[in-house]
Amino acid sequence: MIKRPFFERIKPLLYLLPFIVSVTIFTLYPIVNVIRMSFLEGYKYLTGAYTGIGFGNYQKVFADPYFRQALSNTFKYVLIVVPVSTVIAVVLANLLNQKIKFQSFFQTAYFLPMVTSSLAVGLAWRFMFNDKIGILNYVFSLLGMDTIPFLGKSGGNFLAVAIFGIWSILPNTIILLLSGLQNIDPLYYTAAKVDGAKTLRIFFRITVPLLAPTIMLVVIINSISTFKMYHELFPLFGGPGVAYNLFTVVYYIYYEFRVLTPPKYGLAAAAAVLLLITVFIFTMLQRAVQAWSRRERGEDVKKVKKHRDEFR
Amino acid sequence: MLRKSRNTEMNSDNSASREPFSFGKILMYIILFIGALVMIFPFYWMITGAFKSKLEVNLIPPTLFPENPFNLENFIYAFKTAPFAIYFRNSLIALLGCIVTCSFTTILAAYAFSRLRFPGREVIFSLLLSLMMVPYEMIIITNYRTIVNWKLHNTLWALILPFMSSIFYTYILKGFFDSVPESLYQAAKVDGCSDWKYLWRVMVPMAKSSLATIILLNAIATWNSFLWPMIATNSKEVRTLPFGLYAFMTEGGQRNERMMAASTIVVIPMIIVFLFARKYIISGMSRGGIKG
Amino acid sequence: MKIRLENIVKRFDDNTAVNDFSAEIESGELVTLLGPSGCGKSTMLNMLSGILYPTEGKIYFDDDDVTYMSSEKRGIGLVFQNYALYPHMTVLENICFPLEIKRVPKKERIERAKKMAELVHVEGMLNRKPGQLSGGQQQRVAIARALVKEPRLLLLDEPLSNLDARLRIEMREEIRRIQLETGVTTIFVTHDQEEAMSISDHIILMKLGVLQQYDKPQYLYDQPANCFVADFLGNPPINKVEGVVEGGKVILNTGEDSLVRVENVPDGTKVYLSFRAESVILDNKSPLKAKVVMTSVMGKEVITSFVLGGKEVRGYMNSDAELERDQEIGISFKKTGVFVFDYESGERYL
Repeated sequence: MIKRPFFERIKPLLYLLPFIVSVTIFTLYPIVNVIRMSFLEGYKYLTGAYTGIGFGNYQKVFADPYFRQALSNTFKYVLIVVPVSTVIAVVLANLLNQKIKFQSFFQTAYFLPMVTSSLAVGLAWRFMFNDKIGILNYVFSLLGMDTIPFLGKSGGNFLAVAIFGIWSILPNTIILLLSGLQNIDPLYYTAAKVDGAKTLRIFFRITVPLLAPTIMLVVIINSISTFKMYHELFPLFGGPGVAYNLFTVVYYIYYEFRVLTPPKYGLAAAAAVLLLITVFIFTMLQRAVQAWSRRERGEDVKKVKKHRDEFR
Repeated sequence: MLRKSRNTEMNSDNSASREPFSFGKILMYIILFIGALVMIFPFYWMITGAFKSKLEVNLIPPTLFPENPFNLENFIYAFKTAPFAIYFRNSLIALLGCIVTCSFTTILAAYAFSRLRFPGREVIFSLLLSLMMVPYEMIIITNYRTIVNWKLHNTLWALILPFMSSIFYTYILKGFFDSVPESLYQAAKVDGCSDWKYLWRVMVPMAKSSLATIILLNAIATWNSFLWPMIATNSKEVRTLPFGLYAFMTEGGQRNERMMAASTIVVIPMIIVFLFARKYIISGMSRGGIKG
Repeated sequence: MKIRLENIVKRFDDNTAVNDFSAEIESGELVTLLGPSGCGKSTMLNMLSGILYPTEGKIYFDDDDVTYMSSEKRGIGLVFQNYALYPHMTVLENICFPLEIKRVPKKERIERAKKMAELVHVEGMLNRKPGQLSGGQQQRVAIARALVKEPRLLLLDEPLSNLDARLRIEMREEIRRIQLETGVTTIFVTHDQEEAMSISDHIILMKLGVLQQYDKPQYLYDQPANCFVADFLGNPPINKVEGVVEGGKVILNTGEDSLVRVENVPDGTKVYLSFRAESVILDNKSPLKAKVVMTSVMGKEVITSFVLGGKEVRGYMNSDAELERDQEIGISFKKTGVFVFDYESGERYL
């Protein structure tokens, strides 16, 4: 074969150059660098000096009571926010998937939080959570309930951040579930209706089982994103709660390299690598579920086709 | 968009519309409206709060609607004490800078990965895709040091440089480029059209809606970005809106009505964008969730 | 422009798409590359257009060796099955685009494009987008775009396959008209034999990357080079009955003498007796007997299915006699449209 001219051969490189340079400096190198730093003990960023190589940083992280507290807070947060938001989103997504009026109003209402600054909205929530003048506690008192010190310690502020977290994650969850719902062949609903099934029965016997792969996917994706919770802490409390009672894993990373002076890059890096490992495991799970649901859907399509053929 | 396929498929099934006043239907709307109320209420509370006076905001029971809806003193205060005009300008610069540079690198890279042939293309692309799962919080540690080392700390460059490329947007755009029939490329090649010209005259105009999606997603992300500006900048002159808002929270006192006014300034542009481009944003977001 | 193809071979990994292909195409002719899918006709076209380069062999345009010349230097126009119009440009912009690339001044560009639009009859829709046109109109625009830069060679890759039956007939006549008006040498790729027969000056029939026959359409039909060519052309398809040669006679598998004679074929050679439906004569004096299965009226013609040599075959028989199911009839063959092919190789004996 003939040789392509020189320019033709380096052309792809020229097209890729800006992208690759930028990705290398601001994504690839940081990953490698963080992994490296996590193994350097007593590392000083300015001088580049370190006292040893090993798992020292990891040992320190695990021994750190702040990190332990961060882990337990994070897990608690994931375990509350993910199930609650998923259940609510399954119900709402199903209703939004019906033939309903006010389509555009509902879309705007349910998806608006996706585009607005979580900081600004968080401040609005903080206003609503206010112990004395907040509207939430006012409503509680109207209903004859005890008021909750949402911005104080003793679990109140955990509840506040969980409520805000659920509210924030709902739009994305609903969107994912809606696209899952649209993949369900309407034939199933027609068949069930012909058989005289009632709405609730259709929901539990047809929709939920067929939606199961999407629900699992949503649970995993939301687990990853809630595991990284710390943004929410800033507008609500200006930091990790009262007296650091709401430390989370990512806040820990932020704290070690940006709040502390001098920063402890080694600890931040080790915690970041642990975060990466966790996310990696969840991502592998996600891929497995995706592969599984694709297979399932493939079979579904075949089944439906067969069904239609028999009809003819 | 989201409902299109559904509507056409379900057209024949109008048993629901024949009995519009069934108990189930009413319950459905009640639940949907309550949900919508919960989702929208913080915005309502923020915007109405911005128009309340100090006295009104502390009233028990709270007023659902501001007594004087033309009370602008909170906005005036916000603009006076904190340079929100400068924050706004900085946000715009960062937004435009990120959109222009990132769109440029994304278009070129997506085209290379989609149309140009070079060894290792598929391997490199799948490696890049796997980088998408790396938590941003991990990357930020080194990027902060890089920016400091380059002496760009506390400049607007710090807000743009790290976001000059995006693997995710490249992935979206490559997906579109892949869907353009190869015969268009061949037709142009036979006419002597260069790759460069083909990309800008044919591919990019055709990719309008994909480009709109990634530009919108990019705009939303940049506009709302808060942690990176907080890490990479500190002086008032280079703060963006969200960071300015956060600083206002500590510097401007804890007055709720003023905080709400400042929050409203941050939120309103994106609400307007959303009202106009809902379709693109929602379709982009639904793709974003399944990435990786 | 004259095209000469010399011993072209194209291999993809270990699969040979085109093998030892040689042909000459005369200037100003419309030549069709015909064959079933996977026969290598599209690969051949892509080598002519410069999208692919041959593994071996040479391609000449007149006397220029263009074998490894890049597409844009060859001066060709290309029309695709899916039209490949730029969806964001108007019809006029689409037709202008090749000239824009050649940096033809804008005024001349538009003038030439308009002239082309008139030639293909789309002058009334210059400001529309391709999406607003019917398939036939889109294909007209695609042809105009391919012709506007006055190519030396026009290549059409299954241009009618996406159209419905009625439009297909209309468009193939249009393509022929445009080709004759412009006089551009044209190569037309299709898998549809009827299309090829109706439009071409010459047809190149291909199978599995190998040229089977290169002839005028009628010759291909009347004098097929081998069994494949005979099978591929004709509607209804040619009838095929198995037999064996004994003393120059073709004896059917059921033991009857077909009355067809061949020369210089050794005894015991297994053969196909192939005959066109119009070559069958109803001849009750003939010793060759067949059993009627059914008759069907197709327009003014009557087609009769009957069993011969254990196979159901069909023939047009101009008979006033109403034939009934299971009736025994005598059969003989005309001189033309009757062939004998080797059972294994498909080589033609008669």
